[in-house]
Amino acid sequence: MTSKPNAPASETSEHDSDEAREAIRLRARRAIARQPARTVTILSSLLAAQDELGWLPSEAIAEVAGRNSATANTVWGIASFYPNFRFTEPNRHKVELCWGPTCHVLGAQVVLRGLLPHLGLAAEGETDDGAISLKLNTCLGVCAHAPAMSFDDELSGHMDLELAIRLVEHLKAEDEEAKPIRDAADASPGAEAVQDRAESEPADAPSPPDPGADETTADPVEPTDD
Amino acid sequence: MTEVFERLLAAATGRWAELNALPWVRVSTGMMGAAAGARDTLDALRDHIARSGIQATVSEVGTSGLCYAEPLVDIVVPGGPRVLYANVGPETVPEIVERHILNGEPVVPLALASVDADVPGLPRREQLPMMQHQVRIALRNAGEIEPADLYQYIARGGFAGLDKALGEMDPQKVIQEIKDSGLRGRGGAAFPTGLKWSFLSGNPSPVKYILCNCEEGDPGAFNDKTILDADPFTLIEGCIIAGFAAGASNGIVFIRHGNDSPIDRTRAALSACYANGILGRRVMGTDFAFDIEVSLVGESYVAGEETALMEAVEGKRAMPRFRPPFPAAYGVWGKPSNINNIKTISYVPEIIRRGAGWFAGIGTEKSNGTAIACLSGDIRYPGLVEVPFGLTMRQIVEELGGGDPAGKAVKFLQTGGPLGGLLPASELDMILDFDAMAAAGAMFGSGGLIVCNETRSVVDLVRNLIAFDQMESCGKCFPCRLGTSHMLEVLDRICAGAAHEGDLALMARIGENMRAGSLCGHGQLGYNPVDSALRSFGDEFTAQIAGSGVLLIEPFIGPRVTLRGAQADGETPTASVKNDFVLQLTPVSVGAGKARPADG
Repeated sequence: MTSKPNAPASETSEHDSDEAREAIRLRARRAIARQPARTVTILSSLLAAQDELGWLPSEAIAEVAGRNSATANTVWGIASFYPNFRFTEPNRHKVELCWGPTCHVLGAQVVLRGLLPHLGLAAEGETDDGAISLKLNTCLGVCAHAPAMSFDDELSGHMDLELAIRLVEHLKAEDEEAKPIRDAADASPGAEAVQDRAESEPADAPSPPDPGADETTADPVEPTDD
Repeated sequence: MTEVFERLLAAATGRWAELNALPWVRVSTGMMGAAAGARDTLDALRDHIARSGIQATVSEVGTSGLCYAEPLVDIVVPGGPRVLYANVGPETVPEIVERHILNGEPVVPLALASVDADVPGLPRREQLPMMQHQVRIALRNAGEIEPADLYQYIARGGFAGLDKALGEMDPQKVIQEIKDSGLRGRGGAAFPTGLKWSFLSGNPSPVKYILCNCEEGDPGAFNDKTILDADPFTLIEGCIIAGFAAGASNGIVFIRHGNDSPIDRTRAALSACYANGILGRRVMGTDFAFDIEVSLVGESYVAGEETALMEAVEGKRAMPRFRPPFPAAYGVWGKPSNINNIKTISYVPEIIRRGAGWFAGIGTEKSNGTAIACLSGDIRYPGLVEVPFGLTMRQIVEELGGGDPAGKAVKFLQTGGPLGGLLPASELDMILDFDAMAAAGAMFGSGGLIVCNETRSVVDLVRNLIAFDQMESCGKCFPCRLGTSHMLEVLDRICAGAAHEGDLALMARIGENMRAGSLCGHGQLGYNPVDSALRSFGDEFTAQIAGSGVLLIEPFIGPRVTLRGAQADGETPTASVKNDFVLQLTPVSVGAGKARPADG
């Protein structure tokens, strides 16, 4: 019921395949190279890598270290300081709940106490179905609309438990609707191929991925938009 | 007037006229609007206007501060009155588009107020409860213009201050003007800004930095990001003027990562400045060279502390440095630096344009100008207000904020952020003034005012604040790192009804150690919330300890990452992930691509 410090075995093995690792490395490298700020630091590179990948696998750390002429230890040291960095793969959707004092006063804990059992969680973390990563945020910055949550980075204010559950279910429903489209899209190489491999499995076979699925999903080809 | 500005002003005037020749619809999007659902409203508006075949301009603006009225839609049709519509959802969009934009008749039942014109049945904007007493300087353009549209900013008086500084004044005169205006830092310490700039000005280094601090991790405060979200040019202009006055070479706008809209809008505004000769090697065609860039930081409250901020700009852990050396001598990358709050810098363009005397005439004797307060919590009109110093807290909460929405009694205000304190209702007549508030032991800090009514538990809120302080302690100084954890533990057992005898004295001892043994304000002020709560609401603590607390306190669910650098379940990332990684480590050439500023 609690969140998993490590990704499930099946995902780990996929992540460990050489092709998948190389694809992740490439995406991290491009994200680090494309930073808009002229001053590039370890922290700015980490933020760019996580924005691209949604988390910081060891490949991303290596890329950041290489770009900034730093050791992996130095990069880990900095990454582990900031709670927005994560070192395990997130689920498909990011849900954040603010526990700042305004949200607290206006009922964030009530939402949280109801939402946790709904998601099958005991604290912030990942749901078992691979859909939702729940995170508590110290302040989402929209106190005038407290209690606030964000769903895949879209802010939503005046939250109550019923609305929170409805929006969570909406995110899950998006996956269902998106499935056929994404399956078709996966026939041609796309940037989402690696990230969304969990969804690219046939809709009627949600059980452990078979080795055959890996070949389409771990396609390292990147979009050439630059 | 510089040639560059003359050309820009002419273009801006033309564009402003063009803009006003068509129906103009402004929707408050950005963070605040988005949280209230403004994206849906915007989509509906665009869709409906396109389908009706009307020629109209639809602009995304930042929040005007009237957050309770969001999604706020602002419509003006040429020749007609400008009308604000409150809480516009997609369902009311068709009626507003058809009746107001198409037929030119304001939909009074759905409207909030009119602007600069009388509409029967509607109040004027300045007559709204939340707008009374307001004097808008830093927020003058909030909700009025498209945040990243240079011409709109210039058409409303923008960059005239910079033009005046460059064309008619020299750096010393600019510093003197800021000193004369009495502008003081809005980040909490209230240090005189002109004096601060003069420290930097005296340093002969060719590379000097002006840092604009928009870390804004304070729960309850949202004014810095709102300024960037609504009007980033005012910050940029102020930063260039500060750079000119202090002889600096670079500006850095330091923003917390996440909530992309203020970041995107600031970056877009910076690009527009570079494209029009306002930034770069020849600012407005003069010999003054100045660059500004955005620097992002991960989630860290302590990164808002000035020396920790410099560490974060350099890409390291946001931990405070020892002082001295002070930033004016040894700052970012060892270069002289000057750190200012976003709000402070945002006042500068208007002070230069309208003169020090004008600014000094607003507010109280030693607190000049305005304060930007963020109202949230148990309040009818949550949002942002910019009011002159000298108003009372009661005026802000009851007149502008409208008091508790259900008419319950206000019990206390939480002010000054999580390191601030509680201001009981009995002290609401306190005057908004840096010195008067400091003398009374209260903090205005960065401007967050969280209003709590009679049903709220002080003990519960204090635990929430200490949980924040504990999570955000950077861990460098052990009295703070261990003290905040210990205090949270004590508060947890008080809330759970399992307090030990002497717990209150224990917290006081911890607080004393934190005050004495911490490098920065986080530890030094960490006991503040408990201290101020005990002073005004000591009974509530003793009742809770005695098991006779009247207000129910539910168990608190907090974040799992309890210590910086340690992952959940006590497993550090280095231990869990590094092992398989070290084997693949290839040596990197030291020296190439070393982290340093582009111009440093």
